[in-house]
Amino acid sequence: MNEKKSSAGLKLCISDLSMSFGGVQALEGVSFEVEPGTIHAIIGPNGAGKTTLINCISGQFIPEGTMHFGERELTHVRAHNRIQMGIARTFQHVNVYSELSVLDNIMIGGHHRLKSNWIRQCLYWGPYGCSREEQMLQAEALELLERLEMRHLADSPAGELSYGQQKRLEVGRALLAHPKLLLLDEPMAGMAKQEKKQLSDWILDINREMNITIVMIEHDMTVVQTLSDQVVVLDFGRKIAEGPPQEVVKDKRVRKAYLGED
Amino acid sequence: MDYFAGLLINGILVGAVYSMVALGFVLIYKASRVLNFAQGELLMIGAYFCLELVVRLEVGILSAFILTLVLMSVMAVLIERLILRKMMNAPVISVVMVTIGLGIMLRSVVLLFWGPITIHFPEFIADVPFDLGFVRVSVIYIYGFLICIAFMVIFGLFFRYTRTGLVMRGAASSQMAARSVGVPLHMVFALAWVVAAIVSAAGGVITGNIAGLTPELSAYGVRVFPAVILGGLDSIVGTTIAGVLIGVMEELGGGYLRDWTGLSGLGPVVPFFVLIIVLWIRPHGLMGTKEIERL
Repeated sequence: MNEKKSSAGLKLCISDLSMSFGGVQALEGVSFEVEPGTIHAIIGPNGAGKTTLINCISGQFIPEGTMHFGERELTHVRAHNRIQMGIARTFQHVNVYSELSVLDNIMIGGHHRLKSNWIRQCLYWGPYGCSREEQMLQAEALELLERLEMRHLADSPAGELSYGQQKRLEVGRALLAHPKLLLLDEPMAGMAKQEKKQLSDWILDINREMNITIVMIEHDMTVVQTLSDQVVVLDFGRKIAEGPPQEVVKDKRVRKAYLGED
Repeated sequence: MDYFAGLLINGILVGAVYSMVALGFVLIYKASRVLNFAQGELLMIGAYFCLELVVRLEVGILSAFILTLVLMSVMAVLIERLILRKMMNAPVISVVMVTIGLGIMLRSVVLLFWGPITIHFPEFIADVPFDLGFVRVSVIYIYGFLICIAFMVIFGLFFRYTRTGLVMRGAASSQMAARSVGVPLHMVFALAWVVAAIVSAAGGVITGNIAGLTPELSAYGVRVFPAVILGGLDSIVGTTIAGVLIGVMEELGGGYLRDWTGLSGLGPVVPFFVLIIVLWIRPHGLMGTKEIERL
């Protein structure tokens, strides 16, 4: 809503978060804070509750406990309204609109920023009669595609892209929403080394140049160590360690749970 | 040959109505994964609304038609808001039962107010046959056909070119991703119901003008079902083509079977036979999404 105030950034405070599905306790009393402008990594073995945590922050699930983003309590804000507060996300399993063109995919990310309501939006007709704000949005989308090195693919259906391109497209879609906080769920899973390097640089750019706070789930420890300021380690739904990456990897419990050492 | 051509043309004209009504079914399914078994009843109740406006309130047919569409839109929003919104995360079978129940309710309303008799619209257009050169068709069929085409083109453009259409297609493609970029899903669902109610009501008014109104009109819901399945459940283009195919099959099948067996009314059975055969060969329909399951 107030995008222009975003430069200061907002702090994310997660406190005593619990979530269970039937008999499975996916999260249990997890608390941590994310300072504005930092990159926070969430690591842990499979089934540790990492994606559940991201889903709670983005509003797919309603957990017990409290979450504050700046001054506002998040827990009962509906998922589709969280984008207006500045929270955007990507998904572990690529979730692009495969039938739509790459440009349309990115444009939907900026949908909530359009001021005209949906009745008025019905009246603007595509490339021939769209409103000024839509033209500006489109220009911004094309610029973003340029940065993603996908400008030449703007008109192809997103379903035809390679896996890595689809992952990048998702990040692009989230960025067009002008978030303050970006949640990335395994952005580099399944990528080749070269692609990972490229995406890492890009995530740093997003963080520094665009001043966006990032919370990301990542398995690749090299990536985690180069990118993140802070690391939260989850195991069986509980937080077992937190701190700068160099310290966390030395933690005994972490080595046992995550790196499989005795 | 003329007999064949006559049946074929009739089939195409009738099939356009099927296409349009099936479009409503597919839209609701695509947007919200709800199988709406009350589609035929929406068509029926729309036709009766229009009849009431024309006969009892003496509104002109064009105004009555537009007013019917408005009324049906309001009803669609209410149905979505009051009944289906609560079922958002319910199992598919429960949602199906709810829509079947809704259908029974609407049918009872019609029986209660209008009774089981056939009521005819006053004749708006002199029912003169229109000469296409090789075959003659009733003018009202032609009007009906043109209205269907117009509706389908309008909605096609809406989905292709408007921002709201784009958002709806996005939501149909992935609900979770749509929500994450701030698409209010309940709006999308409501809009899908509105469009579905509009096309159904339009189909009802056209069919009602051709054949008269009885509660039996609701059987249209079952008759467009082969079009929906044949088209692939989630393909709008596929459904449009399948709708016309169903119309043609009904007319051709009905016509020739009547000649051979002396029994009339076999037409509507034919598409179901074809449906079974097609599904043997292509279980995902002619143009539907092939689901790949990982085990």
